[in-house]
Amino acid sequence: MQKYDIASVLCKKHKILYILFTQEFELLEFSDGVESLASTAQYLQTGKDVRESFWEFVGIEERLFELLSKKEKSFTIPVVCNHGSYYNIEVELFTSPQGDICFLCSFWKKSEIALKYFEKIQKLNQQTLKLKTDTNYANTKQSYYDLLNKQFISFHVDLEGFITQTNEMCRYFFESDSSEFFGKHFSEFFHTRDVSLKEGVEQVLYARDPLGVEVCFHTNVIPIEKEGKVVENIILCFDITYLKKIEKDLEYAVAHDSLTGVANRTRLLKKIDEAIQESKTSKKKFAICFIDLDKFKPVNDTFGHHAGDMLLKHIATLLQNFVRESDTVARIGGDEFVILFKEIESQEFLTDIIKRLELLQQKNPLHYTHEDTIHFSFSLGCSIYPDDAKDAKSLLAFADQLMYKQKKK
Amino acid sequence: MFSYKIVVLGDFGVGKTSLVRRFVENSFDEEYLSSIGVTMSRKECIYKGIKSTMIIWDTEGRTEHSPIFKQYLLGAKAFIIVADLTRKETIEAIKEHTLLCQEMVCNASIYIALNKSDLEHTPVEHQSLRDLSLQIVSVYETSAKSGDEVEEIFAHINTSVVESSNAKV
Repeated sequence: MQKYDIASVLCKKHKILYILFTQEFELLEFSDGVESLASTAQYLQTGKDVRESFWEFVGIEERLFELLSKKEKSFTIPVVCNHGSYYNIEVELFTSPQGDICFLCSFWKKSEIALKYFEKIQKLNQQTLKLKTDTNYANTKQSYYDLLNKQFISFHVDLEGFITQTNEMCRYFFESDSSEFFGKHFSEFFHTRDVSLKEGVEQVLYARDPLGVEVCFHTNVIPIEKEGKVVENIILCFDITYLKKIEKDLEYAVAHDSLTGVANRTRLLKKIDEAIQESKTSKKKFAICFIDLDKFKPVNDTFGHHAGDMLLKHIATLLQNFVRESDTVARIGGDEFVILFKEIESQEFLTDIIKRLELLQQKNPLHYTHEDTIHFSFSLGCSIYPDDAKDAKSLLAFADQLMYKQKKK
Repeated sequence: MFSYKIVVLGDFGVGKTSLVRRFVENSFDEEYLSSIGVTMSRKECIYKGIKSTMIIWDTEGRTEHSPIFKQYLLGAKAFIIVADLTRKETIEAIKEHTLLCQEMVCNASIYIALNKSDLEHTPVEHQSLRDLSLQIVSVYETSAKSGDEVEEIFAHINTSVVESSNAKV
């Protein structure tokens, strides 16, 4: 069975590099490309002291041993700059299958958007210093705040959340005049679960620009006091759209097969559990169909692994197009697919579906190149809840056995 | 070889990176390029025949909208708090930076570099700065541009660290 190294795909996609070292700082393992982040790559060899190539670890020995005493699960060194790259370092304990405890250190490279943000901050600091060293400093203090004002969206709201003032960036983002904001509740422009903006409460706001692009902001609420009483709040918005995107990508990767994009085993098991719960209430049956490709190995051997991958993608697409929206297609192994058919009306209904499913293999070969057409066939077996088994694993095992019998024939 | 970490911190634009560059590479650039995050440099030092390696963490300057990351300070044997002799508010901020250093590493020594001494400035009384904390060992008036007192402050740190580590042995 061919295996896909999802961890390495995720590491590459999100620009994560890592090193692994012992409690004696001996380098055990490191990922490709990590040499670009080493303070000096000259000593980057397994068996060497990690502190010779990564100066970050000089002086933080005590901190590492705090991990061993389980006082902390991990610690982070944020925004390290090295050879023009910016990254966060996260250190945590790693226990090998043999039970050896060592340190796993991952390097999270900053995204392009984050780098642009840093550049903005750099320019802002440079302009500010210019202003601060100006002999006429008192007059330039206002300009300093104006500069800040140009970098972030901000607006003022009264205690009920009605907008009293907006900055230039806010008006630029919505392409609106001040008058279009004044007196309106901020939730008309920014969507959020909690419409009460309070100091110290982490809040995320969503807004769409006039082109319809959704942007996600993290907010800081700064109260303005008059005679000891809060009379207004300034809301400072920081664009965190790229962080939200990474979060979504990770959530997707955890539940889906990286090659075909269909559900993976974890998601399938969750879906089956959900179907069991629904079935208990609705009393409607559902079916699991286990599909195993016949003679998949010769495809790889004859046409190469790329063709094998293309065939798996082709079959995943065919199955996705075949099922209803409420059904789930999953790939749970090299050439093993499973379909969860929800709410089957009768045994006849299922038999009919299976017949049509079997026709797929005859009618849809993969046209790999102009010259090469790859035909395929599969064996399948089905189980029905609650007739054949009462839990996800047993349902899958039952269907697998039937599939195996069909394959033998 | 014995290696240790020191951290250079202070407000933005006071010349932290220039000081480090003057010490490590013996160079200086008039153009101000604001640092982001932390950058590490290494310098090999010798004191009474004892070789040591100083790992210098040059941190992003504190601004009104970006505080210093506390994580950078952990494990330091010494701190250099840098201020700009021509900007009063950066000298006033030394007190706050000192408190931060004390909070993060209670036994590390603190050195103060009043930088840009080559520029016209109002004299600053050193004793009042020393009185801020018992951890403050010395106050230097440095110039990354001319190199004045730069070598001295780093040499002083190396001497103290090497001597105290020998004392422990």
